Amino acid sequence: MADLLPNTTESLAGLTFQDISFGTVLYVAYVIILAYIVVFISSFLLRKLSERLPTYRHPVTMLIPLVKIFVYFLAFYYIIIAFIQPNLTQLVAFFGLFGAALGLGLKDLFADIIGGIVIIIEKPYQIGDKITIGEYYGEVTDIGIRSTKLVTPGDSVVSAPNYLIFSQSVSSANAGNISMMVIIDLFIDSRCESGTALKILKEAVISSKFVFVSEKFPFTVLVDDFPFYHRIRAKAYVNDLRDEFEFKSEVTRKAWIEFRKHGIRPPRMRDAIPEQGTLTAPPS
Amino acid sequence: MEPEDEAGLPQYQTELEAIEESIRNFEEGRRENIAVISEPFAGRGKLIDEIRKVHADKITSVRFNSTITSSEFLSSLREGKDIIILENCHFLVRRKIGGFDQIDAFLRYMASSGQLFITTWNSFAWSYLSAVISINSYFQRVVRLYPLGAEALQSLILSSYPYIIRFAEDRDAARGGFSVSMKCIHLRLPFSSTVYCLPWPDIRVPHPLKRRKLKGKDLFFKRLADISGGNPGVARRLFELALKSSPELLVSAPEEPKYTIDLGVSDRFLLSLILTMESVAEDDLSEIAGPDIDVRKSLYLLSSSGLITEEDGDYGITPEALKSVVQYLELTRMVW
Repeated sequence: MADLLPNTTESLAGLTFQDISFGTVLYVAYVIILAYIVVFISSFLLRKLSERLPTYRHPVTMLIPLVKIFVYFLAFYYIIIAFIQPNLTQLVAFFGLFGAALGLGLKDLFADIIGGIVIIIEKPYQIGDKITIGEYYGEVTDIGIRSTKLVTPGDSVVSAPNYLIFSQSVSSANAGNISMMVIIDLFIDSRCESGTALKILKEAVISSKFVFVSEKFPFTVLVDDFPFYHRIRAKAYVNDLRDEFEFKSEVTRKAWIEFRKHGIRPPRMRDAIPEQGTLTAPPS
Repeated sequence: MEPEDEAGLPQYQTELEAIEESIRNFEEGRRENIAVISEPFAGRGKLIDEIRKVHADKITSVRFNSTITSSEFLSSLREGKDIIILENCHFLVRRKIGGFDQIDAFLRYMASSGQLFITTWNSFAWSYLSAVISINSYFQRVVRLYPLGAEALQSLILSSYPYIIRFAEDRDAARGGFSVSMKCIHLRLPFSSTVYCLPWPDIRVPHPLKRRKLKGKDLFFKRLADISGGNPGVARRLFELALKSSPELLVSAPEEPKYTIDLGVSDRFLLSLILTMESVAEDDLSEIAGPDIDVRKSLYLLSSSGLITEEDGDYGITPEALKSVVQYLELTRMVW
């Protein structure tokens, strides 16, 4: 490292700096605005295209961060050569020193950018995925140079810095698929017939307009016994993860309408709580 | 009139032989229940008519024309002959809670009976039922009616016209030549009775010498096969439309129907129900869809965009819109 630094300094010693004129500033502004416009338009078009191709929504939207990084790096390169006229060795040396400066001075920002690149290459999540990062759960709407934007079920937009990928575990509910497993739990009185409830919930799931079933995306309906209630649990994939809550709501509502017709009722609280007067006070 | 009745008898010799083989096996003591699967308008009915004609004395036929809500049909099966033909079995299912009781009853009966069942199904209903109740495991022989090629369509359609139809090559169509379409290579795997379709690209490169050998008629049916997706019912419908506009058929006459489909979830769901049931009454749709969906409004929307048509109170997919509807519903994963 100690040997490299003098070489780098020597390489940079020959750099010729341009005069910073009004024209240069205008040029820089022009490059930044152009880069922003290109990113904006390409993101818009890719999003529109992804909506037209629901099955390929995720691969198409994952091009957005790639385009962003490419365009912004290109813009950065054009800005650099507006100020200096480097040859290849000097350019490499410059970026080396610039990176070191970034690493020391703006390490969080630098970590975010590296995090963004890792997210694009490693794909722990993609645009359109439903993920839990830190304490937030929501749909990834954008992976930017610095942060990842999530929209929570409550429609709040959360910006999570990209460097979190290095320090926190991220769980993706669908891992790049447009389908996502949804778990639906219904609780019924333990004295009710669980077999009938199981059949009803199964049919509610497979007849839903949101469900997607295949060999790769199977569904299951299970019953679990607890002291005062049965838990009927359905696990099935929703056709489009954006309909996660609609799917859950439709199945739950239809199943409960049918449960009532068959005399299946929810567990009663009083079964779980001892009646008044049965508790005796401890002796004083 | 049932949609597939319009198609006439397609050139499904391989499929007929497969069914005949199962009947022979049954007579020798080996039972292989058969499921004949096809898209709407593909000519399932005519294929079954052919089987019925040959084995009239051994067969009891039951045909479902609307959704089945009680298991009374089982009594006619019990009293039936050794071979039972059950047409349009997709009507045994209503996609709702309690809507699977009839198919369950039928499968239970079939499993315990010694009869041979030759059943017909809509291919999209079959895929759905295979995914949700593994219906494919109940049938040892699955016979799929795959798309027909240009030659088969030509002989099928022209055989029903007693007079000569003139074809002419118009300049626009003659200029083309290079085309890529998918054809079907029938393949039977070892230890399996099912005949599979291996999709194979049919690439045609224009050749100045060969080009002259193709007549206007051949070009016309080649184009018709491409546009109709090889579906005989759809091809016939497009042929009739072309014939209506001119007595002399130009190569470019079969017009490719264009539909821009952009529907909400509920409308998509109703469209998928109509596709899988082929012909369904509004009341049945309302019962399946439940109070969540305004069926009247959706049907109006689908009818006005030309995707469905109403005949005697029953709704079905417009034949010429079938290809677009299937592509759209597959893309949005409403049919699997």
